[in-house]
Amino acid sequence: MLEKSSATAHGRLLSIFDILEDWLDAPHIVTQSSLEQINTQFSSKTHAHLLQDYLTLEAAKAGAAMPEMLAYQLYFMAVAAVQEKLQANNHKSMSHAKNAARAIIAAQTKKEFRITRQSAYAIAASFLAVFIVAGSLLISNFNQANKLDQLATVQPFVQPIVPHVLATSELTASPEQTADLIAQIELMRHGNCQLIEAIQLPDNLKGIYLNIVVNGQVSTDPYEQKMAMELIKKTRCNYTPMLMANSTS
Amino acid sequence: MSILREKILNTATNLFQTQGINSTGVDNIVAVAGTTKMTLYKYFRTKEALILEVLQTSQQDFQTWLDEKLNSNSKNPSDKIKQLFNYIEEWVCAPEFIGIGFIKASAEFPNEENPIHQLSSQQSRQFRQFIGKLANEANIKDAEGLALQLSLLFEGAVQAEQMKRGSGSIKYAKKAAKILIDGAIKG
Repeated sequence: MLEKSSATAHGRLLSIFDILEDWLDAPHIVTQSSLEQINTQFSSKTHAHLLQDYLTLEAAKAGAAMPEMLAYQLYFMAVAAVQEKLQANNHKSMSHAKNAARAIIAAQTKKEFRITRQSAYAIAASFLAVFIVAGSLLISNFNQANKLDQLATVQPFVQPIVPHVLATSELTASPEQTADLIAQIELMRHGNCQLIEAIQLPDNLKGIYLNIVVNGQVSTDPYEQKMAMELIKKTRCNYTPMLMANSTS
Repeated sequence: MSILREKILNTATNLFQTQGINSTGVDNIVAVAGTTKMTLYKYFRTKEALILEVLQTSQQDFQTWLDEKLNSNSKNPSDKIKQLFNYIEEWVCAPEFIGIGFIKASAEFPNEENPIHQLSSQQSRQFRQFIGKLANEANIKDAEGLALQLSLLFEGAVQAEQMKRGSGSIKYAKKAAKILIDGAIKG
């Protein structure tokens, strides 16, 4: 009967309370003299194991985090609700038990962000790899950044750079945008440029500055290109030839 | 209470919860407590009297602890009922937790005529009334209904936990209780 009670495992787990209610409400089945017998039968080990096994299977199908435990819980709630109905003659006991069951099923089947041990190791390894790569990039770029900083004039970095959300069509930068960026970077190669405030930038912007502006590794990501252009605008460049600059000062 | 009486009571409480009430004989209790049957029967007329006292004391301890927690940490009635399962979880997850007496006793003594069954049923009802009182104070419309739902969750989770220690059942019961309480508060 339980098997056919619903098309979904979730529904079959809940229908146990409807079936029990119908069964207990049938006058020809439940009489005062048979109350204790029903109670004993329902609590007997054979019946209990059969029902718990079935509930465990359905709980697993419903995607419960801990199917066996959910099955125990539903079983005990059903037993308690039956006892409440039989002993206290509480006609609402099964419907309240069903409500509580609905909540416990929801709590157990709600998707949680669960990380397995293997996944945790994989994530940790990925982070480590990223740190190693980023660290080596930073070290290799450190000397070049220092050269640019030598001619710095300190000015406040007034306008914060606000990232924006990209539309799907903006996933790759246009060739024109890329060309503009490369041209800007090439131009900077002919002067002495520095952005001393780069040290105060958030890590993601610092990465863009070092990779794209300093190292010239232009990405096709439109967001990164936009940020790189913004940073270039903030960068102060001196295009006066070094010898000429020295002679005029 | 004499020290020896208290020791017998504590030993019996522990053995009833860990081995089962019916499976624990008086011989076991006196052996573990380091006393004699004569002394045990001096303080507790029968094994049934001992079981009844164990149930009374255990429930009193749990209820006193819960009252203190609720009253000292929250003044707002809505907060109290929302916090209820947090404290229940704290009690159940404590290393010294060995079960809730009336839940175990009602399972082991299903006969309604038995005084142990009667006391455990009474304690179950009292606990539900306690939840109902919290729900009433929080102005929940169907306070009685919510109390029954929460007590079913509580008893189911504790039974699951008693069967398998560290099952995590109380964690999910707490989540389910939140769903039910939030729903009841919204009306």
